[in-house]
Amino acid sequence: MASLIKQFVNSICSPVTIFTFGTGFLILFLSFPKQFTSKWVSGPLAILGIGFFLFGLTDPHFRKIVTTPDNVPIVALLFLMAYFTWYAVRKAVRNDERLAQGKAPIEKEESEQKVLVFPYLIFIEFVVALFYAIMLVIWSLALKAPLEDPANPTISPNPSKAPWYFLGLQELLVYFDPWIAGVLVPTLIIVGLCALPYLDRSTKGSGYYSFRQRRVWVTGFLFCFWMLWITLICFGTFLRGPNWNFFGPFEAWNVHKVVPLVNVNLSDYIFIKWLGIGLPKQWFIREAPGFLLLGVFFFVPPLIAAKTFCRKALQEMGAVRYVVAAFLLLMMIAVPAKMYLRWAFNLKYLIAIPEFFFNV
Amino acid sequence: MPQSPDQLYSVHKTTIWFAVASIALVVTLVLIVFQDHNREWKTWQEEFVELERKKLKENLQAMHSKVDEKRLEDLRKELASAQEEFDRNKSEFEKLEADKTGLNVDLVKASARYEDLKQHYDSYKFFLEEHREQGEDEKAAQFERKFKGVESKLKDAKFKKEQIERKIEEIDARIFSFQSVKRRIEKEMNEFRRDEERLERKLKELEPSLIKDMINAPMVDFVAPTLEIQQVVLEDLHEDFHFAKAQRVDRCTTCHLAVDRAGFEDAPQPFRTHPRLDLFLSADSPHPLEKIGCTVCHGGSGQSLSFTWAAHTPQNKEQRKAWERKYDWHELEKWEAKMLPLQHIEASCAKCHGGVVNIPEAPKLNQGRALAQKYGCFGCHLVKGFENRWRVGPDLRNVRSKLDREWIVRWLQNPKAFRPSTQMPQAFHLENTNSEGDRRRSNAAIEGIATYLLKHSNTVSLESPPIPGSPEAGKKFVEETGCLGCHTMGDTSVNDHGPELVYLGSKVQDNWLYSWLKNPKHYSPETRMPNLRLTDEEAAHMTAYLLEDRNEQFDASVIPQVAADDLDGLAMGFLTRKMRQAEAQDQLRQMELEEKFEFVGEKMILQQGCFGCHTIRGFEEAKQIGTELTKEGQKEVERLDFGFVDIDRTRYDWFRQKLKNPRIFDRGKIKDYHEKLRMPHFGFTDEEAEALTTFLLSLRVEEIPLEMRKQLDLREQEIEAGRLLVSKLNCQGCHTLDGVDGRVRSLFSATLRGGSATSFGGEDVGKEPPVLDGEGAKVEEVWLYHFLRDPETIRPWLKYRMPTFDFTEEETNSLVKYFAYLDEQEISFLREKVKTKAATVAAGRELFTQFKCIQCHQGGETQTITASFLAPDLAMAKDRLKPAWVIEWLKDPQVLQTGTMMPTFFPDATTPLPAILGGNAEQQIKAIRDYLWTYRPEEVTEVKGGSS
Amino acid sequence: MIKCSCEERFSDSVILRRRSRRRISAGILRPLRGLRMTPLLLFLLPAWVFAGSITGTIKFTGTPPEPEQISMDADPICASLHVEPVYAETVVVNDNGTLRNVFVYVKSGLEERTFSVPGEPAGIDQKGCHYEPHVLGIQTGQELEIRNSDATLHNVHSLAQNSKPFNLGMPIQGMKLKKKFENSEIMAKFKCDVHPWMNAYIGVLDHPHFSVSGSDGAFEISDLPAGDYVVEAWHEKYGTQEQTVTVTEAEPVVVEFMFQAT
Repeated sequence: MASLIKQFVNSICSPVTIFTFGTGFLILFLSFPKQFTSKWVSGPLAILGIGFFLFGLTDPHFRKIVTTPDNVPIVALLFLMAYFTWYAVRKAVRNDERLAQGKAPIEKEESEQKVLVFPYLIFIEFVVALFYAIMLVIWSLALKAPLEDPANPTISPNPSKAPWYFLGLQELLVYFDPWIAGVLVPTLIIVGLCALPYLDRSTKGSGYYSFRQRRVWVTGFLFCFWMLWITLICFGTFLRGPNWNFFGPFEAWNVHKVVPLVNVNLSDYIFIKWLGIGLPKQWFIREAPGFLLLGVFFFVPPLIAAKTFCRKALQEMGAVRYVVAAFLLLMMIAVPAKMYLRWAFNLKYLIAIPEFFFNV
Repeated sequence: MPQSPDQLYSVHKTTIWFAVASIALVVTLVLIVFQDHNREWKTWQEEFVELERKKLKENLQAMHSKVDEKRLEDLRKELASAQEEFDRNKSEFEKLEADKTGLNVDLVKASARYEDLKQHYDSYKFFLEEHREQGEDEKAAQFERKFKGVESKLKDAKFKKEQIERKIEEIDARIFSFQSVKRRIEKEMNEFRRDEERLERKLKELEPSLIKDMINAPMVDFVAPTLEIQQVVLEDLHEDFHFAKAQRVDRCTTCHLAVDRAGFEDAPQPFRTHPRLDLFLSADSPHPLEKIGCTVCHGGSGQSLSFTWAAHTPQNKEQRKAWERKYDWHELEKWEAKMLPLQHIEASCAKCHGGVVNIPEAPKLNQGRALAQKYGCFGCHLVKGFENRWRVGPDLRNVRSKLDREWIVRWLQNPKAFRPSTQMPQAFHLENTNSEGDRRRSNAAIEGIATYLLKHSNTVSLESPPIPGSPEAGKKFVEETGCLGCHTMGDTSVNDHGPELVYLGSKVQDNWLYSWLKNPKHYSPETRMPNLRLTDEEAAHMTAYLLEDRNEQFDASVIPQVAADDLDGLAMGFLTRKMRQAEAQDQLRQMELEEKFEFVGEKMILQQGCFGCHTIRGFEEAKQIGTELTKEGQKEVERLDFGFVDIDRTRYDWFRQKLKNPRIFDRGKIKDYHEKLRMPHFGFTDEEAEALTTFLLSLRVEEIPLEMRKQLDLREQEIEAGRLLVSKLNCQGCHTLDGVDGRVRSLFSATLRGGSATSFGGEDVGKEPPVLDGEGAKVEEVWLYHFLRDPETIRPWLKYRMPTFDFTEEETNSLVKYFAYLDEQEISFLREKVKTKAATVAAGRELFTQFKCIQCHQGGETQTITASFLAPDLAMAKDRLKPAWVIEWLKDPQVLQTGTMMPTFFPDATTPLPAILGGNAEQQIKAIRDYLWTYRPEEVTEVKGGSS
Repeated sequence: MIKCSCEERFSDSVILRRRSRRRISAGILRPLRGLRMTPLLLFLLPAWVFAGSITGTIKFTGTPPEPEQISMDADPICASLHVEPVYAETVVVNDNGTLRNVFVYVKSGLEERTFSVPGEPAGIDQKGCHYEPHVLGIQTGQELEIRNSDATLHNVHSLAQNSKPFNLGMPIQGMKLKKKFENSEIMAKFKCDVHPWMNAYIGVLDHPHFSVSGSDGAFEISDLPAGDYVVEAWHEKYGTQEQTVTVTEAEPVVVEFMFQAT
């Protein structure tokens, strides 16, 4: 029975299924926040999640990966993030209900009881800080720092993994050129985060939890954080094994696992498969479809949106902010889109110019 | 501040939490200190203190039981009486003491006055000299006066002082005489108990105490704890941390506390004494701890202080399990410098001991090296430092004259089926080529190889035996002329240098064998088989005997038919490596059947690397096919393909598995016939595999400073070159030489050595092939040179023959140097001269006659007088022997050669003939030697006549 | 650390106890031997007054092998010493059906005791190109006087395994040499390399309780304290036999060994 479950889990585990199901669940969750945060749904889900984890611990391989000292925080991160998301959405749902009834949010009522920051808040914070320190000490005593044998430059560990917080980016290396995954995307993340307060200047929902008032932004944020950050980190931590191959959670890491890599560039698809005329010699002709596609992706949707369902938003934000927001949003979509293209069509690069070491 | 019931905060509760947090913080602080203080090695050191105390107590007890209580009691009594005597004279003693005190006061006074005057005296002297020099006479005169005045005073003061000193000395002497008896007894008693007291002091030091607990307590233990990390810093050895070199620091002794101390041989680990203190660790051994440390041999992390991190390596699975349980041990995956498992420890010796054939005290490694040579590992695998090795298989360039096609095919199917003891490994029909299709392909390949070999072979002229030989006579000759010095035959397997002499009847024809026995180099110029200078009859008899033995089962084995498809398939496999499918097919179509066989054979020889061991025409320039093994001992484990074989992921497990079953790593893999592993199967025993694994592990290229390596001087290098030649030609198969007992000798004196007598055996070591220990000191280099090139008979009673090896000039010189340097001789190709005087020669002749030397030492022609002529002809002595050696030999032959039949005539340096040369044994010996240097064969009869 | 000088002060009781545990090699204690023996002999004296003995004969059954004649032609001097044909002494069966040259000795039962070394040497002669006697017993440390009564060259080549082997040339008629054996051995062989037929066997023991069967096949081991012993008889060709014997003070114990022709 247990082994059947393990086999089943292993067999359905692939980047595409996890990503698709994760995204689907997120959409479902945000579509029915009230139902999902009720104890009748969230309770069983929590039990299911913890149950799966406990069940997994019976498996030596799963146990080994999960209990490796540097992986423990990621396990904690998963559960903590789930809890906090649930907590925030539940509060938001309550507040949304109160707002719909014309009442003020809960935070407003609470904020009427005022105390001085010093000493009351500081004191509480201080105590919390103490507990935090205690927790860290106990943790470090119980789980020793995962120092390994002295490094040997002639042997690179297999798999070679980045620190956990970069594992999401390392996962992107599978789908993108280093300069995109390692330079462009991180830069955009930082720039995007910096730009957020200037893009979204609405005062709604500040100081209290609310979902309905800021549905687009919250959804965007949760998708980015959950799917493009945490999920990818989990891939990198738990599911990527030797040679960066993908392994199910109960699958032993076999160094010799071989998976076919038959990725093809967009130009190959178009010129060889569809047109059957062979690759053009000049790179700009060869990669023209790619450039065209990228152009369409980045220019057409914002234009259409501006004319149709985003007309109001354009008016509110003004052209510059609209363009920036649209670009960031499209980039956000571009990442999973490219991943899907890889999974679905084995598409290697949209634009591949080895002449300039430029690949997209 | 309003306090409502649903307040979010409570000062009171916060305070409580604060208290809780404070307590918890204190607890965690204690935990931190505890964990930092609680180290694995401290537990070991504490345990060791207990062990040491136990040992000390035992020693003390043993010592105590040995002390002569009676003597001690006597001494005590003596002491008591001495004390009594002393007490009786106490009043006088006390008076003396009082006098001395008084005199001491006087002495102080006198000394002070003397010192004072001396100061003035020096000062006046200075001024007097100074003023005189300046010409200030008046002042000079003034000081001169003063000076003169003080001079006499000073003299008086000195006299007075010395007088007092003398008095004190007198009193001291008297005081001493009062005490002397007592002191002496006390001293003897102290001596009696000195060792015991030393141990007791040591024991006391080790006793647990509160103070010790305190200085070892956390936070205080930085001052002078009794539990301390022990370390050796090795100045000349480095540890390679890949980024940087660091001085090697071995802290192993922190836990292995008694490793360099005798007396803990039976203690449990980690406290056990090193099993070879004479060789390692002790200060007077060649590898002292302070210079060599631990990790340079054992490997492991010298700086680590925990069991796991020191990179201990278990010897086997059981130990691995036990360690996992006991020490929570795990393998350090990424670190290379793990400890060598103990059974392979000798691999480390090669780090410093390079350029030698055998490393002293490393039998397993030496066995591994010898096996690697014997089985021709260097034929396929390049190993730097072992390039000067010879091919181990027979030369196949004239094979057509020796073997027929059927035999070759049967042999290649499975060599061990013909001769189980053969060194030839099996290359076909092994685990990974055992499927029906592969067997058929292999059969085609074998047929191909046979075709190629026969086609690319010359023929040599062969002689047929002139007479029909008699097998019985042949057996005797085989046993008695020297074949067993290299070959195994029947039950006598003292030597396995050449192939076992079985089943030759199934293999070769009489004309080949006869010609081969007469002169092996005729068929194969490079063979190691020497020429025994057999007569035609001897060779004919031996041929008859050896050909009698047939392997019927082998002769009857079926030669598999090769189907055209299989041959074509195999050929296509080779062809498509170089060309496209269609072209290959074209080419194949153009080939005749025989051509196909030849083609397949050639390619197969190339693929299997047959030319690594055999000389084959067409493969003179072929490259070795195997992996280079120069650095095999440090190859990353990741680069070894373990396939689906469930063994530990370690180098040595892989090596052992590969050696035991070279094709096993193909198990479960889907591979084309041509891609399969091709190392052949040697059928190594576990012991051999272990020795070879040790050898492989020793193949490392490590930077050890030159001064730390064992460096060979020029003579040692010559000796090693000789040793290699000696091992190549198996000199030790017959001769006792260089610490190895001549292997064939055990057959002779079987009764002496506790075995059963053989047909040619006896109890006389003199009938065995000669012992060559000390040969360099014994014989003249020039004689040795000529003897090696063309042996002559020295010991006519020996049936074993010194064969003719057809040494090259270079080889002969190498051997001469080897023998000479082995006995620390200088090489000189001039015979040493002996200056003789007529008188001594006459005395020598008289001694020679009286001692009846001639009774044993007779030349070949005159052997008619007595039965025992078991000694060399002395006419040869002056050409052959070194004069100094003859003297030593005559003094006591047993010293130079244990068990020799030559008796001593001068036991305990005395002579039975006191009348000659004043009865001086040494002069008599010299006289005999001098006589021998004038000795001519003709004298035999003269001497003989004189004696009877 | 343990000084030798301490050992000199051992009381005798200590020595006795130690000897019983482990034989001390002679090297260190040799100078002490005299010192040690005197009280010991006194101590043993009462037992010896009532000492018993073992007597017996060596019987032989079956057809004795044809005696092997030795040709001494090789050395004319040897040949000239004999008129009658000479036979090998490997198997000599006496007229009364007993076997000569059998070495009988107490193999075990005397481990607790120590024995003084006889002052007078044992003797072996080379006479008529033969060793005389052919089989001989000797105590460790006792001197063996080797004599050459022939006018030819003999060499005495000792093949002893436990003691230092030697090989002495004796070219002069009437020449004598003395040798000792350090350790007990059954049997140490003597041979002459000049005359290959010559050999002798020496039984080296650390006690005096041995005997060699003579021309009547009888042997006697006397002065044995009462007790249980294992007695062994050794023959050059027929190997060894042993018997357990209880010696009482009353009368001699009679033991018979039976060797059988092969």
